[in-house]
Parts: sequence; C-alpha cells; structure tokens
Amino acid sequence: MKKVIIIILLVLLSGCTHAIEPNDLAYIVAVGMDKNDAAGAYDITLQIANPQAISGGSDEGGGEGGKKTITNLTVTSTDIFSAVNIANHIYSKDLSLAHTKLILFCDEIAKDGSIKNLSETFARSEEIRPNAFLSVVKGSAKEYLTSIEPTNELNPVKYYEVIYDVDYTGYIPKNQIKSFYVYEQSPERENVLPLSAVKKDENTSSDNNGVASSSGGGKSESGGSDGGEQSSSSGGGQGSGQGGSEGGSGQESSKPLPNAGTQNEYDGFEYMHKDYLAGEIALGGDIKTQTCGMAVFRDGKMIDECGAVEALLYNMLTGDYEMSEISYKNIKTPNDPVTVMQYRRKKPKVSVNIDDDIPKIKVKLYLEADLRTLNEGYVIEMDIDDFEEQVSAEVKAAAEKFLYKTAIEYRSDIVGFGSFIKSHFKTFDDFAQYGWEEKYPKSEFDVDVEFEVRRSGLINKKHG
Amino acid sequence: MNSKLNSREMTSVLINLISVKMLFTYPRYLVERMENGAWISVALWGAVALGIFWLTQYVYLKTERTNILMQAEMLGGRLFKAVVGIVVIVLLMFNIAPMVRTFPEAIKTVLLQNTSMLTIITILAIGVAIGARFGIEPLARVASIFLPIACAFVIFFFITLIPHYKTTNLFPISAFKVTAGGVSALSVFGDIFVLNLLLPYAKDMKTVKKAGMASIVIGGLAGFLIVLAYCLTYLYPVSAKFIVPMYQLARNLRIGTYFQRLESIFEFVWSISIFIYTSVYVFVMCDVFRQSFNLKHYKPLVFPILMILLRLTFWESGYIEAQQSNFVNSAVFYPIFYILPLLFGLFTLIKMRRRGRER
Repeated sequence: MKKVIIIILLVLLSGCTHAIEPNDLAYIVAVGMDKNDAAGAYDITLQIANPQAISGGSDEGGGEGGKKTITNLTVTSTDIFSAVNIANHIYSKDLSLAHTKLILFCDEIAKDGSIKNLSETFARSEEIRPNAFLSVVKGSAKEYLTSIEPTNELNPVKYYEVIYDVDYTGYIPKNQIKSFYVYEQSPERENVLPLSAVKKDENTSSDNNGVASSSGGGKSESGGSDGGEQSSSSGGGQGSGQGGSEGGSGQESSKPLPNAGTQNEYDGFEYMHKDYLAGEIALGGDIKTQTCGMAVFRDGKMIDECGAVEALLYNMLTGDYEMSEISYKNIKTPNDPVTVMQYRRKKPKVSVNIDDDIPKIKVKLYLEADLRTLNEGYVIEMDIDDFEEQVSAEVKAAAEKFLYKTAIEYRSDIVGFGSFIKSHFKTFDDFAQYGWEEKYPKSEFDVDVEFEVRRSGLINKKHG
Repeated sequence: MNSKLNSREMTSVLINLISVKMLFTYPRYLVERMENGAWISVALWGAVALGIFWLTQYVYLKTERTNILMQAEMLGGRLFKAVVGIVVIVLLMFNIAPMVRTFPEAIKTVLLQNTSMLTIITILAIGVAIGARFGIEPLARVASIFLPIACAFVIFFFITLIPHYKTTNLFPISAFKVTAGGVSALSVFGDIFVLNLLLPYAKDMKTVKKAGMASIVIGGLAGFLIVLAYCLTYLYPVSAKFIVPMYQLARNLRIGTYFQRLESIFEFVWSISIFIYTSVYVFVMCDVFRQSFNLKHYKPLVFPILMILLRLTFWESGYIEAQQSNFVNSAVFYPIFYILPLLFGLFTLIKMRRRGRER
C-alpha cells in the first residue's frame, strides 16, 4: 500500500501538470511604447525573438544579419500585459516577458509623466526582470525597434546587453527598472535614462540643437571653480564653444580650433568630440539605430536631453564610469589633442554640507589614464605634470558646469547628492520634510579632480 | 519519546524556526517599523533575546528539565495543564499561520502561476503531514543536513549582492526606532519558545543550553545578514514595499553573464525550509495536545490539527488581509513566548523551594 501511495505521489507531485515546453513559448526581448490618440492607450510594439533562427546560426540559414531573429508586433492597448494578452491571439506561441531586456518609451510618454506609473507596473511584475533596461526614444519607439538590425549578434538579448550595459564608453547612463523605480519613490535622487533614436537623414543631422544651447551656461563661464558664483545665464543662448577650458582651466588656445564655430564642441574636455545626441551621430554605414546621451527627469517627467559628453560627466560624478577613450586639449599642441584611455581609479568621494541654507557639495574624482595618441614630435613625458594639471582643471570646469546646470536649469538632483545628506536626519520623514528638491537648486559645487597618467603605452620617450 | 535529540539536531531545528521568517516577510515588517536601521535592531534585540534565554535556562537548570506543561501540572493540576496546553497550541498556530499563508501565495506568484492554489496547498499539506507524522527525530536530522546548505546560500547571496550595496541606503538611522521602537525585532527570536516544548526530547540541560544559545546566535546572524543586505540594496521607503524581500534580493543576483536567475536556488531553500518549519510546528502542536490530555499517541492528531491550521491560515481569503495578521502576530504574541516560560519556571522554582522547606 505504501509503495502504491509513493508511486501516486511521485506522479502527482512531479510538477509537470502545468509545465510549458520551451517550444511552446516565444520570448519578447524588447517592448516599445508609443502614445496613442485614444486616452490612456499606447501603441505597444513587442519585439519577439525567434529562438530557432538564433540557435541555428547564420550558417544554417537562420539569423542572416539578425533580420530573421526578431519579429515585431504592434498592438494598441492600455499596458504591456494587456498588449501581450492580445498578441497571444495573433502569435502562434505563448508570449513571455521573462527575457525582456529593453523597454523603450517615446519621448512624448516620458515628457507627460506616464513613465512613473509604468515603472510601478514593472516593479510589481514577477515576470519582467529588475535588470531590464529602460530607454527614451526620440521619436517613435516602434520605428526604433523596427529599425534594429543586430549586425554582430544573432541573439537580440545579447545585442541589447552590449548596447545598454556598456562599460567602456560612458556615453549613456545605466538605469535599469530596479533603479528607476527606487529613485522615483525617494526624494534623494532624480532619474535619467539612456536616449535612443533612429539616425536622422544626412540633410537634417547637421542641425545640432538641444544640448548646444544648454551647455553654454552655468558656472564655468564665470571664470572660476570656486563654486561661489552662480551664473544666471545657465542654459542660455551661448554656444558651448566658449565653455570648458576658458572657464575652468583659465587657459586659452593660441590658435583657433580646426572646427571652431560648431555649436556642439567643447573646447577643453572631450576636445574635438561632438556632444552627440542619439540620432545625430554622424556615422556612415547601414546601422540606423543609435543610443547616446541621456534623458533627464524631474518628478517623473522628462525635462531635457543631455548629450554624450554630459552623460560621460554624469557617469564620472555618480561613480558608474569605468573607462573610455577621451581626447583632451593640450596647450602645448593645441591642434593635436592628446587621447588617453581613461579609467576610474576609485569611486568619487562626495561630501554635502547642509549646515547653511545653501548646500555645499564637494566631489573628488579619481581618474587615471594611459596615453594613446599625441603629436609625434611632442615629448609629453617631459610635460606630464603640466598635462595632468591641465586635464584636472578641464574636467573640474566641465563637471562643475554640468552640476550647476542640473541645479539651476534642471532643478533636478540626477547625480544623487541627496543620498549623502540622509545621515543628517533621524528619520526618513525628517529627511522628506527637509525638502531637498527645493534646496538642491541653491547648491554650491566644488569638484576636485585627481588625474594621473600612469602608463604611456609601448613607447616612453625621453627626448623628441 | 524514546528518541532524544543531540545538540546539533536541536540547534538545526531551532535555527530553521528562527531564520525561516527572514526568508519571507519579516525583513519588510522590520523595515516598516525601524526603517533601514532594522539590521541594528536585529543585532541589538538578538542580544536581548540571548540574555532572556540565558535567564530562562538558568531558572530551568533548577527545575529539572520540565517543560511548561509539566510545570503547569505541578502548579495547578491536570486541568490547568490542559488549559495551558490549549493556550500554547493557539499561540503556536497564530505564530505560524502567516508563514504558512505566505509560502503558497509566494510560490503561486513567482513559481507556479498556472497551478491552482488548491493544488499548492494540498501538496504543502501532504508534505507537512508526512513530516509531522515521522516525528521530531527525522525532522531534526533533515534539518541538520539541510542547515549547512541553507547557511552556504545565505553567505553566497550576501557576497554576490555586494555590487548592489550602497552604504547611503542605510540612512537615516533613528536611534529611537532601532532601540525602544525596535522592540518588535524580538519577535524574530520568539520561536525559541519551541525549545521549551521540546525539552523532553533533549538529552540533557546542557544540550538545551547549547542549542538555545547557538540557535539565537546563528539564527540572529543569518537574520542580521539578510536584513543588512536588504537595507544596503534597497533604500527606504521602497524597502518597506516588497512582499518577499529575500526573493527580491535574489532576483538581482548574477555572476557574469553566464549565471543569472539565481533565485531558483533560493526557491529550493525556501521550499525545504518551510516544509521543515511547518512540520516541526505541527508536530509540536500535536505533542503539546498529547501531553496536555495525557494521550498515548500524537499521530492521529496530525490531520485534524493540520486542517485547523490551514483553516486559520486561509481565514482571510485575500493575501492583503492575511498580511495584516502577520502584523498582529509579531506585535502582540511574541512577548508571551518570552514571558510564559520564564514565569512558569519561576513559579515552579518557588513552589519547589517551598516544598523543600516544608520537608
């Protein structure tokens, strides 16, 4: 009798009763949400992976350039889960969000604040992973997803991981569902999201705007780094060609820059690089989708876009920055920038003094670098101390300018200095009542940069 | 009654009872009351629980290994023992009901979405009934085998979560909330009361003392690590919102790109620990009933007690309402678990001394 009971239990308790075979499932790897004209409705694009094409590989007829590895379905619905439910009637497999890696919102949704409610939905779901990436798309999320053509990755999940989880450029912020929801619930920090877009036509891409107009203002134009004076013209009409090095390092180049006059250039920090936004990177080739820069939020609503350079500064200040190739202007060779492989030596040291009504925020950045490219005739090894000092000043100026912009123009503590003042309060309610959101715009910033060139590649010169 | 538990087996059972709560809703309830300073409260009130236990065992050293039911009979006769027995069973039921309720709900939410609740509860009930019928000795042995595995997982989780830690998440820390306001953290260690009921199964008082001390220290340490990891990972007030904090933490785990979704390991630990936890409690309740009414066997009581427990557990049809009962449980019943054994021990000691003087 016991044996019969055991056999019956083994059969009943095996857990196979409601099992779903992997072949019966289809995995949604990305979701795009666009605004619909109907109130409360969205056009939701579900990007579904085709596992057979992925596992077959390009040699076996699947995954030719990634085109066959994904299918896009667009459904009009109130939320993602309802959209999946509708799509289940169309698609021949059971759709699952368990492998969703990317959720995109069109900028219209990001600006009207609906994203805050949606983040709660994602956090509540056991199906969507907390490490799925969120991003704001300039234009249509559907257009972005339908334009995706993974060239090097057959697996679309891997493709998104490589694009959004990148540690070696610093041009986009990392903000996953978990972090977004957490910071939406607390006054200590506001959110940013990576900015994605489909590349604009050649005719329109040269018309850079947005970042250029906002990068000209701020602290550095006032000529110092003492943090005491706040320029009321932040974000004003000045182009950024007058920014960086003039204000921060106090140095001026002896010759005009080769591309001087282009709005998006920084004179010092990230010399010669454009402060690119997604969709505006001047690239040749067939890849249409771009992810670069960041969308800035305040109270759950997107308020502005920042370019690649500001995203880089943001990452440095938050400590998320790992490494990247950066070109710095060198006073000794103003027409030949010095490019270095820059690393974060350790996390930034932050202190926030709130004894007065004006919060005083000090940040110390620890950076180190390896030399990459420089003028052949120039022996930088002999001037290394000057170069380090100059770079430190440039980064300091750029970082302070960026911070004043977040305070005065955005009124949004996206770096998260609020988290450093919590220790001054006894309870969370006391902290909430302090009103950090109102205090932050008055903040004074002092960024100190410790920059050191550690290695010189395979060459070390003693004379020219 | 013939089987006696050694120190390791007894310790394993008690650690399981103390720490299983931490795998479910407790970190959230602690954070609700003490904000993200809850980890300090666990350490602080763990030390207090250790002190209370030391005092209690000191008294019991002189009462000759009698549990609360034997003492009740000594103090007020058989009727009093029966009344105390019923009260103890009710207390135990209210203590475990929220855990027994949370498990199938959590399993339904995260693991078996397509399986009906009835099936999940039936499987749980069958497993618990079998465990309880086997008795304390097999349960203790299973617990002693499982405990090192569970400990290894807790340490593994704590270490692999390090990239998610932010020290600023621990603030603000309210001195009042973590000290006087954090007294409810004592409820974490309330299950040590079961040790009193298992006294007849212990080899000697040395075993009891060792098991009690070790279980409070190790269980407290596990609870401390879990709550600390939770507070370091999630800032307040978000940390007061997640239903199953440990699962929420486990979802963040990954080692490189190859090892992801490690919460499946956690679900294994979850399932085994709740089966041991509930089985031990059902066994203890049956045994208390047997002792209270001087019955010969406890096995026929397993099914009725389990049915009563499940009825109580699912008294509230909605899980939201059921969570409120956990609040009541941890805020009201846990002091009784500390006070009752100490009071009975003291009264018994006084009575024994009086008798000694009279003689």
